[in-house]
Amino acid sequence: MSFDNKRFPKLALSAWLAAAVLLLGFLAAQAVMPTEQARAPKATADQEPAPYVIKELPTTIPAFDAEQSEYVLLAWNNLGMHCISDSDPWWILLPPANDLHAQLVRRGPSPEIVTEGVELTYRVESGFETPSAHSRFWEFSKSLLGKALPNDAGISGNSLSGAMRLDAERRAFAAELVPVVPYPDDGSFNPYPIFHIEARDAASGELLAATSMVAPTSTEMGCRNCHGGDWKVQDVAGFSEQTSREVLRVHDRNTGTDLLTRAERGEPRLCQSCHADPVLNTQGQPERLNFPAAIHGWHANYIQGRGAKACGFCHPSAPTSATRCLRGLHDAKGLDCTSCHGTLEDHALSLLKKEQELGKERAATLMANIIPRMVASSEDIVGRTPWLMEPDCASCHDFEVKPERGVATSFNKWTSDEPGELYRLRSDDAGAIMCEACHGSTHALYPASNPYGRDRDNIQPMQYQGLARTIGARGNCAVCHVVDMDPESSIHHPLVEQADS
Amino acid sequence: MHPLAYIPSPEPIPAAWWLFEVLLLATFTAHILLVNVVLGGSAVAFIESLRERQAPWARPFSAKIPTALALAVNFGVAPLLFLQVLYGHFVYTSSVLMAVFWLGVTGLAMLAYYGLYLTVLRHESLGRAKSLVLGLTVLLLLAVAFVFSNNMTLMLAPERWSAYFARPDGTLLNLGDPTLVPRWLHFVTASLALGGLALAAWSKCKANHSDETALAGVVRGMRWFSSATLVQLCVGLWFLFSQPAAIRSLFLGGGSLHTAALGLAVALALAALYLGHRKRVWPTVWVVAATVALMVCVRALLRAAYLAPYFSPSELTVVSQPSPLLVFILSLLLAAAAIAYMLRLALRASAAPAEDATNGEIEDAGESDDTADVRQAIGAPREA
Repeated sequence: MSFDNKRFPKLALSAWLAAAVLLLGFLAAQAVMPTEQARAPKATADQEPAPYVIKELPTTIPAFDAEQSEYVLLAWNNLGMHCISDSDPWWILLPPANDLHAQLVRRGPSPEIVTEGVELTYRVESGFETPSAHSRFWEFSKSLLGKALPNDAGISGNSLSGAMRLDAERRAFAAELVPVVPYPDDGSFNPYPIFHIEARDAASGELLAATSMVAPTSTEMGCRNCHGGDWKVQDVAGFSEQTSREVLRVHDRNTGTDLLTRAERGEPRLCQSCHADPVLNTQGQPERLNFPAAIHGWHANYIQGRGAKACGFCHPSAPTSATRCLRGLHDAKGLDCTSCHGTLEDHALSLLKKEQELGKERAATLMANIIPRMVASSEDIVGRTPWLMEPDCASCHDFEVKPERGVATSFNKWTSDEPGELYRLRSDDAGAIMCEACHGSTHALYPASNPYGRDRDNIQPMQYQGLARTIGARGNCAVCHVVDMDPESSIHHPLVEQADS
Repeated sequence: MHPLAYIPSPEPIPAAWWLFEVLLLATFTAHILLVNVVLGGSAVAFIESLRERQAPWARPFSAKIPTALALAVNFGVAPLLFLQVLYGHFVYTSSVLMAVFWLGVTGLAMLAYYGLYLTVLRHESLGRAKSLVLGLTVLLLLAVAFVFSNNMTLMLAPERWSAYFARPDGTLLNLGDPTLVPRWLHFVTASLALGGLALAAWSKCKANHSDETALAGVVRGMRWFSSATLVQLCVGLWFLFSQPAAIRSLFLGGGSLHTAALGLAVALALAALYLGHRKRVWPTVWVVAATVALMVCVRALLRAAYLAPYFSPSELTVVSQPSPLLVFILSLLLAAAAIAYMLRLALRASAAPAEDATNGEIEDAGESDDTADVRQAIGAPREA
């Protein structure tokens, strides 16, 4: 354009003025206009996230007469935390399903494990009896699981009270997949509901022993932290519709599925229907990554270098969360999730590596950009099958010297894929008492510090020995043996006592 | 959710963090001095344009500002890159959160550039509209500064990033931060002082001892400098006391390095004020340059204090890559030398008669009206 001395200045000036005023006006309008889309109205810029304030709940310790009681009833949950994705109308990755275990010991100088002539029952505390009133799982169970479940019945048929089956191999009793949810009838959030366990004589019905235990279960899964949406319940837990839909939308976009459309048609899916998972015993589609490898492998590409904090973004393990599921002895000793499982990156690589070894091509894609943190390179990662190959106690505990506080790690030292080696399924050297019966649940080893009540996880140690420690610790062999015993000659396993343990 | 969850993972860096920090501070000092001169010079020119009788220095001085703006933008690239190397996971995030405004900076700066050129190229024909154009240009530059102040404060406050969920459309401003306005005003007031000082220095360069026009520019410029610096002492105090108590106390005795850096910077500012009052232009220029350099260090200490709960650049993984860094440093030195040589040529050309500048080899019969206007505006004579 040629500069005409008369016309150009006016044209240029007008154009410039218009552009300047329009741009300034546009930016000013953007600053003051309310936004069209708000994703989490509760989140504010001016509030630094504070730890969730937990109201302590009363914990009743059942009675026990050290002189007269003939039986000791030990009961526990196997995992120390079961997570539920109550995104039922859209998809789920874990249904309500808590495993309860128990062993009955007849006391005496040579205690016996009792498995015959007795009947063990379980019953959830008041307020938790009707999970179907608080969860839509049953409404969609046909689509999710392929079979319609009666309200308040779990996958195994167990409901919130009933008889425990005999697990003869382990000389224990079990009630698997009990569908407890963390929503009592009062509308609050309580991830540590109590179950009451009773042992009765099968013939006479006489009550032989009674105890209580927590069945930890939480819907505080942090998908919303990245995928948006609110919590569903009490602003602390549960899946909102927005979060649930967004997860599907992203899955569809990234993998070409049509899960959102199907869910909108009333056909939500269980993630493990495509991605195999030993925990639910699903076979999935054999060419696909198993579910733990897929979900950790995918997200490890987005969340790196955060150590144990990364775990708390998704799992209810953060010390400021409403659940705080890592609450046992290991936590007290300064260990965190990564001490046993590795960081998210290491954890993902260990799962993916096993899949890669099984010839699944997708594993290499997800592994390509994940940098291991606890070993020098991916070459050093030992692959593992989820739920079956877990951190091995023996990698830190040699029964001679206490592991070093805060620095011990069992990452990369997995049990073989023989389930019998797992802490949650193992018994002592004598093949009598299961490890968890005396030591407590994984993630909540005695003494556990439960945020909803100091001894909520220590009911049996407090009941039988008045001490929140491993059953029999500190010279409390008489709990089962009636008389004092020499720890040196323990048939359970060599004992390593320490004053401050 | 904990703010840590919002912070992306940092990338490894190719050399020790302190090297990038030093480069960041050095390049940012050069950039901010130029930016101050552009905004302050434009403001001084605008206010001057409102007078009935314009000072004779007003037009030629204004003609220098577009060049300063071009230099300021170019000198801004390096510190922005170094900032991204060390603090990218903070500044990228805050930039995305306020993307509309952050991207708007490009448009604002370009329009300000055109506005400045309009007033230079069409000085006569614009008439009274010149003040409108200059005023709007200053407004555009102030808007740029406000956006930068927002981004530089938002990047330091991951705990505020959750506001994204309420404003996910890239229109987040950090208006809830009590340090935002004093920080922005601190920069604006500094610009007025530097604009005045630039006018004084430029006039001094032009002056010979009998040139009263140029001397008037010196007097006016130093008056601007002194007045703005006095106001700056108050704004600086406001900025200091708007900081959170824990951070403020660092600069008030809690941290020896913080306190010493701020104390020395304030002492230098007072020295500059004294020298300005005495109309000693060049000593003032050097002391002010030192003050700004030191204030840039204070700013870096402030940034470190804000980020301390989340991050320190010393935590960054170093994956040593000496060769690219060496090539970069060599390129930087060569480019700096080339620019210095180019500036020297440009200054000589503007100071010398036209035929000297071209050695008489280039015929200028085809010179456009615009070139003539610029030549006239900057006071360079044209030989017939």
